[in-house]
Amino acid sequence: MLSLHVWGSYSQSDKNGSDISIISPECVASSWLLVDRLGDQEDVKYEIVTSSNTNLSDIGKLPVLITAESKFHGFNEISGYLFQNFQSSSASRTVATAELTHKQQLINSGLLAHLQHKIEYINQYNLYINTKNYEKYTRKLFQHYLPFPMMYNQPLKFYNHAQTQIQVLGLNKNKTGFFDFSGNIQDDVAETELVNEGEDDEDEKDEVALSALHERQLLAKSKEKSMLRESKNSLKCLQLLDGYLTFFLKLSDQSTANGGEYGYLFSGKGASSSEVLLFAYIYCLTHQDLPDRFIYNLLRIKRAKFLEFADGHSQKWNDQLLESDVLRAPTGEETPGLWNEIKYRSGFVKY
Amino acid sequence: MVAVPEPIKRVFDTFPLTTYSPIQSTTPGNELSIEQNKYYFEGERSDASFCLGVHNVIKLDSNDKKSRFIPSDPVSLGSSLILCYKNNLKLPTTDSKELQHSSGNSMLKLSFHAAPDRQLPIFLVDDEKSNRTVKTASAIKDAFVNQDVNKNEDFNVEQLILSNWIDTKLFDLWILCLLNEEIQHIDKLFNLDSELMKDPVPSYLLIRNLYHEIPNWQAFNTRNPNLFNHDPSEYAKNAIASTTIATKHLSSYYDLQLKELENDLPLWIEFLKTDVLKNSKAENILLFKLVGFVSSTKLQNS
Repeated sequence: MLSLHVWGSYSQSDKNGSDISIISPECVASSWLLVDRLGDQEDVKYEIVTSSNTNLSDIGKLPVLITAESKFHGFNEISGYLFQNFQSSSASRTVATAELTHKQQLINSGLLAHLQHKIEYINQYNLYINTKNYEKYTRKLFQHYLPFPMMYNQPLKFYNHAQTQIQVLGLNKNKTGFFDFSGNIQDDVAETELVNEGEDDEDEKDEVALSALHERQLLAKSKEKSMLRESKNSLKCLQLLDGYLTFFLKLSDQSTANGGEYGYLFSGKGASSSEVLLFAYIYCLTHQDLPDRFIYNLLRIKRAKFLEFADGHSQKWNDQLLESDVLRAPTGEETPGLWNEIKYRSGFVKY
Repeated sequence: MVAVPEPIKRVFDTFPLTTYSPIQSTTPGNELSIEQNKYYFEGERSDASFCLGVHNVIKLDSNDKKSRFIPSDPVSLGSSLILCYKNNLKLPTTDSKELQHSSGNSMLKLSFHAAPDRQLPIFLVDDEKSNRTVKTASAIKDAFVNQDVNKNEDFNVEQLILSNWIDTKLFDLWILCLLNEEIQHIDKLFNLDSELMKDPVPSYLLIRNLYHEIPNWQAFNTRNPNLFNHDPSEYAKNAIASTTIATKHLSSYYDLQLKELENDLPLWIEFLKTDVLKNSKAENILLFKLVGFVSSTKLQNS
């Protein structure tokens, strides 16, 4: 029995209510690969558990694939295991790493690193730092994933991680000085700075009547400022993403079989492991439930063929996931509840 | 003109006003010690000069009586080789201190505290007008390899991807290796003061200070918060028992990355054998970066 543990939620009554979370594209990619490789293998039993419990993993990060003998962590190791041990079926849209030439394998592993070290933080920006997406979507997700009272702390923790991680790419929510190497996050612009900018000093004579109005004006002004700053960051983020995707587009251009359109990078037969992960990232970045789909809009206008190609794959794999009905909710010690956390911390339960 | 009253004049005469010559910011001893830590590259002299700040240097003996100096850690070694290649220089040797050989460009042994982001190597450039610019480790990386795939003329897409693979994967592995392995000559690797290392208390403090900083290099702990999100008691236990701070998550992640390397290294060897003999600029830089990591690991073992 293979069980893949991912971030996600499961509901028994409503089939469409079950979902593998977009907060972890690696989880999405691993699940896709699992159904793609094992979809029509009769003799292998497998399941996807939406446990959302990071304690299950030895490196503190999902996804983790648990077999009878051992554990496999992260997309790289899981894809390696799946490609090595299971032959592709006729319906499969992936190509095993071993089928590629040596140089292609090397590029493939370079692309995986590129995705995990660069595009990962674009995803973090999109989910957590973009205020609209975070407040209206991402933060609310966790109540479906974690039981009471665990869902209060987790989004905040991830938010803090994201806030420092996006600085790796040079995206920063707050202004920092040129010489600020320390990366300290200042909370907000000082109130006085905004007050001094108001030029109409005469109005301040009538304190009672106008201070409320003035206050409102100041609030509006500071809101406008933070919105400006955020849109500046979003533009920078789009520019970075476009630069990162250029790598894939250029590689696709070099591959002769594609004839000018975006296609598989290495082999006409299917997607390599790096491409599966790329499609997962694109799926997460352009997910339809996000309130602010600025990345989707850019890709639709600028890289329409690429987006279509990626969407086609994620659509197919998602349908396959839904059909195969392999999702299940966590049970017993797999549940990320408070009681299990205490047992884990005190050493009563080992995963 | 008004005459100065006698009592006041007497007071001022007691304390005569003298101008002293300015005090120099460096002393001869200070300059001497900087000079002692400098290792000059061999090559032609020019007005502009640079200085690469590294942890420590290792003396390599060779057949022709001259010993060469190379930096002790992989990233600095790679950087120094690329610098030599780009500027037509040769590695420092035992007689490059003599004027006719030295190029004015040098390697300087530094503490990592000297860098603004507490990460070596740093790159100090003095131009013709002796204006100094300081480049941090990440800026050096960008200066060597232009990350913009559309504007980079030396590197094609594949080479750029491979170069980034070295920068991210191998660098991470180096940090993981430092955190996980018990390293025999850590004082030589990072040039910790040998006098202080004799005493257990300061040596303990020095090493703790170093291990505290290593996870910050290349934002490693920011990028992998899950590895450092461990049980505090486990951390403390490890810190007292040994010099490494590896916890369960860290060591599992290290194993994972080693397995990946095991898979990728034969591919690299094949790639180097078949593709890199064309001798383009990009391929040479790739090679130097890789060589930095591979030969440093070899030196640590011997």
